Amino acid sequence: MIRDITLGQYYPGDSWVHRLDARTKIIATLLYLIELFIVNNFYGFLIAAVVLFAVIAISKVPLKFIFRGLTAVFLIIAFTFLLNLFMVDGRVLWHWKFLTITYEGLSRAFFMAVRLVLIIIGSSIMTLTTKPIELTDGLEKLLSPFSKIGLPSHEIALMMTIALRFIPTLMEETDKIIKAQQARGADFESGNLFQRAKSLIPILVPLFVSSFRIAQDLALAMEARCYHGGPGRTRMNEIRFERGDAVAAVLMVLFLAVIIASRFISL
Amino acid sequence: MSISVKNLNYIYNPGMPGETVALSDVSFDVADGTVLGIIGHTGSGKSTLLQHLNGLIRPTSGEVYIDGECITDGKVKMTDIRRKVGLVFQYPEYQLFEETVRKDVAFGPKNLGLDEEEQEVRVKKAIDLVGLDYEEIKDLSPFELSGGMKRRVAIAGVIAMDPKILILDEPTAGLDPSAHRDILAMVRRIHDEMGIILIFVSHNMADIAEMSDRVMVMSEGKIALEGTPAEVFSQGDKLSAMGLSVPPAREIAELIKSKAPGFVSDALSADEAARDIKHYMEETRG
Ligand SMILES: Nc1ncnc2c1ncn2[C@@H]1O[C@H](COP(=O)(O)OP(=O)(O)OP(=O)(O)O)[C@@H](O)[C@H]1O
Ligand SMILES: [Mg+2]
Repeated sequence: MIRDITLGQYYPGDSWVHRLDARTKIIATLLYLIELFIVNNFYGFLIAAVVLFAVIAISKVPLKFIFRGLTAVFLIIAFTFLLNLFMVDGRVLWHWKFLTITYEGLSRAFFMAVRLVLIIIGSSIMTLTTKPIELTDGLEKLLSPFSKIGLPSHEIALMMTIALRFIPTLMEETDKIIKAQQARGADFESGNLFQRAKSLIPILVPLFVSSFRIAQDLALAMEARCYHGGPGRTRMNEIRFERGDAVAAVLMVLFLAVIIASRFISL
Repeated sequence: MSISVKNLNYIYNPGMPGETVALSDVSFDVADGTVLGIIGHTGSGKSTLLQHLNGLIRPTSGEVYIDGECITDGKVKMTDIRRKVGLVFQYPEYQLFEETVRKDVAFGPKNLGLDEEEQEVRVKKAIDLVGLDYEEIKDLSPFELSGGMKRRVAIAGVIAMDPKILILDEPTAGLDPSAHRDILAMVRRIHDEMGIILIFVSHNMADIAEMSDRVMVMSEGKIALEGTPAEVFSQGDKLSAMGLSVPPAREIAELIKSKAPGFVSDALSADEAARDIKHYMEETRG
């Protein structure tokens, strides 16, 4: 069901990865994503994959949990794989009627699929091991230098916090509404595309109404506690760079060097 | 019509963080025409149980029989179950979505595949049954009604499907005392007029005692007690150990018992308590 989507979810734990500063993890993730685009051959991807699975192993997040949440995403990747496989011109490997697989197509399809899978798993490791609150705190800190040039870093972080905080709430709400309409005989599974889209109205209208209600309650609760924007606010838990973060930083630089070096390994 | 639940087990998120055993080995039967009241502490599994009764949740193991037919083996058509078993969720007013009250109440009948004429008849009857004026209300937007009226319209939306079993999850939650009384009287009237099985969850012990033929007490996913209101509410100690209580009238009767030797009462309502007190005073005076 709708609850099975684990994208962006937090997996509670106390591993070394969990304890890292959120800023370290944000930077590491960004760097990792950039590195995935620096990579230009399969050795590079192999190294990147090994590093990723090592991080997963250290984080103690079960692989089953990661993959279960990504089934839908993998379907999309499979689709792009097929598109690439048949669409690229080059040396013909296999031909049947209008379908042609070329050497270049195969290699491009693999390249893209592996890259996408690593991007998705890599970025979900960050959200799986970092509490949403820490993540947005980290982001606010990272963006704070830009507030001098007028970037509302606190507001951006707050908006993200609220959005992340209410994903589970809205999922629960959606689940409840779906069940309530099913109890009235609503059918979301059959019919053509148009009928199915129409059958979403009984879910969407109450969901909008609920969202506005929740937003209003939240605004009221914040005002009742005298919330007023960024400047001068202190926080209960200050985030700090620690020894682990220094180790992580060294490892990141090392990894970057290896990835760049991998470009020069020839097949 | 009858309900039979056998060895029902249900686990939320099995094998994931947040795994919760919500029901464990729940078995019970409900005879035709019965009003069954369900009580239990928050999180004891009441709502989870109710959702099994019309097939919204598939049990981890165990069976549910409606009128002798097994609804948990995946063979019956869901619309057939929903036609027989009407489930009104907690805060049902949050499910309203149509432009007019009439259209919203007609949503259920329409899903059952009834024709326009029959839909209209059902809607009219349902709105009458929940104590609203059809002509006055039919073209209003459900969103501009008061809280109590919204809830009635939402309940009408389920009644319009003409269920043989009506289940209400905390129908009076969050209402003011007068709307509370109105909804209870309405539920009572619906039961009497439609001659159906009525199952309802409430945290108000006086309501449970007054309305129910049988009472079921849930605790940590199990049925802790089951019986007539008199049987269940005579076990005050057990109930308070589960974080529940007896109706206020009974509480007062017990208090008097502890202060006035010779006072006998098993009152569940204020009227019964008054009767017993009067009786006691006449006896001691005479
Ligand atoms: N969708 C869900 N996902 C995970 N756990 C759930 C879900 N719904 C309920 N639970 C858990 O299952 C248990 C039983 O919940 P349930 O809602 O059936 O209790 P309840 O008796 O209806 O409580 P209340 O009186 O608060 O309505 C609780 O521990 C609850 O946290
Ligand atoms: Mg409940």
